Amino acid sequence: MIAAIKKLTWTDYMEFGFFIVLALTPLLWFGNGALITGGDTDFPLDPLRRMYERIFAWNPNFLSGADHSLDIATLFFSAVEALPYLITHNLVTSEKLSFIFWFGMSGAAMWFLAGVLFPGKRLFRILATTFYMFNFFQFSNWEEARIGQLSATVMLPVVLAGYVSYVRGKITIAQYICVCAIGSIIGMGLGVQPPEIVVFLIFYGIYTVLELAVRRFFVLRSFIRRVVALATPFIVFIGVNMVWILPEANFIRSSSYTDANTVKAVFDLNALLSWGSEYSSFLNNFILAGHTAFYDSWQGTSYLPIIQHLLLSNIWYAFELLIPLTAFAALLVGRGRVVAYVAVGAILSIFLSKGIHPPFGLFYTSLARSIPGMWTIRAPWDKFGLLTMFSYSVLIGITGSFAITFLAERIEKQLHGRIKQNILKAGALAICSIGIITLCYPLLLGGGFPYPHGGLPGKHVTIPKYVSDAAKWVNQQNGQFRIVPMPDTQASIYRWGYASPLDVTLREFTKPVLNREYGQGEAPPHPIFILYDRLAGAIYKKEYNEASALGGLLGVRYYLQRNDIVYNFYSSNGDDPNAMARRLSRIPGVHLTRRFGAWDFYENDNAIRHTYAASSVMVDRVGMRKTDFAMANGSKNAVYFFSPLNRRDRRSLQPVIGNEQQYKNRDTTYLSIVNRIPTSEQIDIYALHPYVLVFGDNYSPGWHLYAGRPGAFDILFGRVKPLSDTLLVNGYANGWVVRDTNIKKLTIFYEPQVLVVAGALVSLMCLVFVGLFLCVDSMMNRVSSKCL
Amino acid sequence: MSLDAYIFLGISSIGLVILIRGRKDNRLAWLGILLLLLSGLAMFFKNQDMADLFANAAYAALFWASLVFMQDQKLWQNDEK
Repeated sequence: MIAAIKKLTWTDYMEFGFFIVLALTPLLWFGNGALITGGDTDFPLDPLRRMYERIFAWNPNFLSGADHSLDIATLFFSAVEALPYLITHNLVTSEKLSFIFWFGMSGAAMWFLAGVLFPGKRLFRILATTFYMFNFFQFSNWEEARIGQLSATVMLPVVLAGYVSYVRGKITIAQYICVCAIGSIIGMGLGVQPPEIVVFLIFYGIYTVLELAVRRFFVLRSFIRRVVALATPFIVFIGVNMVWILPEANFIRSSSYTDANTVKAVFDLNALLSWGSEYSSFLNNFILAGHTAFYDSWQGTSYLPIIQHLLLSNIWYAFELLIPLTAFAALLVGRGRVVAYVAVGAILSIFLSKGIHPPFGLFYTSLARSIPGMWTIRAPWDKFGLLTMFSYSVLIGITGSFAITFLAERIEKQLHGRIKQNILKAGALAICSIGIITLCYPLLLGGGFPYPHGGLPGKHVTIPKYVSDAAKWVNQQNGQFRIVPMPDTQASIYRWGYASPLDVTLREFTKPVLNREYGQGEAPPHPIFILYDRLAGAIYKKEYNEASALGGLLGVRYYLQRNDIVYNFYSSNGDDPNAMARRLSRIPGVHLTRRFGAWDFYENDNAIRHTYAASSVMVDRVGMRKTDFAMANGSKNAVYFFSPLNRRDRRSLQPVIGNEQQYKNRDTTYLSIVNRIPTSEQIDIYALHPYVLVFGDNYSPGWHLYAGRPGAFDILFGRVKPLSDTLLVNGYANGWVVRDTNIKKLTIFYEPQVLVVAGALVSLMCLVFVGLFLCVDSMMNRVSSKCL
Repeated sequence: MSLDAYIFLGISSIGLVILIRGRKDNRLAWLGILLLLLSGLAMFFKNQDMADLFANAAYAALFWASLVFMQDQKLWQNDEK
């Protein structure tokens, strides 16, 4: 290592210095000491808590309880955010460091690959890396903080570098596996974007055919080496990422996401495909600017003014066409398999990025119908653009290095050697690099994170102290309970500049927050959304008794009246904070209890407990109309609290028709919560009669009730069995009929968490195997080199 | 059929002929680059429709050019002997 450092020349140091400076680009994006968040840029306000949440398959706070198996894939991404916060305890510094990490790593990965593809070609390395870091696709990645694409941007060159090195015999299989394992860990975030995985699999299939369906069939050794080389990244990726693959696969299977019609409905696929293909013409795709958000606006105001201004400038646009022109000129000046593969990659990805945009939009539709999984891609440019960006980087590196060398030689000859070729090359390289960066100056200046403009909120936010104080007060309270933020809106826009589908309450509160789903499939359809809809409707329609009953049933302890919301952002419906406060205070049992700045908390005395045991079945409660329940559940059985019960349970649980007081008098159980983590709740219970245990997290068949205190491994290895079937109760919650009153200790467990534990074990074992294999391999290499 | 489709068909016919002849030929790559230049020029003169038309034609040319390039490089032959 030290010997290698000693061998470095001053040009090597200059190259490192150049890329270190480029990696620090994110520092230019921050202003006024504010945090960059909001919109799709979802930087957590508590990175440590976010990291903690990512190890669980269930998030009890999000939409008051939802499966979050998909988010386990962001474990590494969250760790990159959490680690700096653990050290610095400063949110803005942590965000800067995590941005620098990902931006720098994308450059480092390409730099690594460029060195492997064409060793010693410094011009190629610098140009390819510079373009890989500065282009419009990267801009869109950052503008939306797309975890999947950012991770894939780093992973792809790393794994390809390993592949090329192994095929060329430069590294051993152990080293290759190690490179793939590193790439797989970094690329873990790809799991949040299953469509991006489909894109990778499509191209993986194409290149596998290209690599194998040639005359190498007849050279067995070469063929086997290629098969091993191609299969290794695939197997290692699956092995290392089993921690999220297992729960995610289970989630997709159990949530009906394998059914195309369900997914199309949940994610509004067809509408989004049309939206995502609106600007992805060949012309825009050629310059990597087919992203609809670049051109989109809200009531005439562009979301991204800097880039829209640039793309609407015809002169600038004409200059941008230098990018594909330089890239495809590699077909004239380059040779070999690398150029051929990369050029074909660019051509294919440009076509597929186009989606259903004419010409040949129907061809994409028929491809989507015939290639398995391709129909999941609702934003083709966002998914295929990564491969265009990658291909362009290599091609631009090839053309650029050729052109610079060619020109430098010619000019040196013309000047009879008065200016040395190296100086000419350095000058040309500097001009080219600056040109590449200038063509994508919105990324350099952080144009993806605009300040408030034209009535639209920005992304530079300072969280008001009252928000943190309110969160602290809520989070310190014991037990679980729901909070309903008001006004009812699908995306809250705050006057202090924050706006995001993921509301600030969801980020700050550690208690379940029940609000309107933003859309685009944040969670599979759930009956609680219908109940919430009815609750919000009752409040707005001033049906206060109905609101009281529903709020009580849903376990809403607090209504949070946010006076700092921009009312009537979406439409002018005449709503205002005073009207909302009046409505809330008129709901029976609801009263103002605490104020934090612009946030008022209204407590609901009628809220049922989150977890309770009932020895009687209630058919009706405080005037609730049966039709309400029927609508909530879509089943006539749902007029019962507990549904559907079998005959034996009905005998043991005598139904009563009555009110709250009657219910309380007949309650003969004592229950206390011993411990709660997102995926399990431990309970001590004393009951005289058979009872129904109600657990207020959103209903999921994944929740099971066990006797005693079983651990994840007991459930994993089948040492314990659930006490009874999980029932949908209260229209949204989980319930279990418990007949054995001798059981004093109960554990409610979210079973998909077992898959997280099992997956983590497999991942860990894979990493240990990779480490051991590498050690043995290096020891054997040393022994064999000594013998020689 | 639209003008785009005629251009695609025309360029594809040329591409197929070149591909079948199996000789080293980079004229389609030159054509693609020329068409990209024309597209840029059309954009410069604020003619979006023409720029789109040239870009579509450029795509067709570059598509066939990359296939011809693959054939030129004789990728189907074993280079590891």
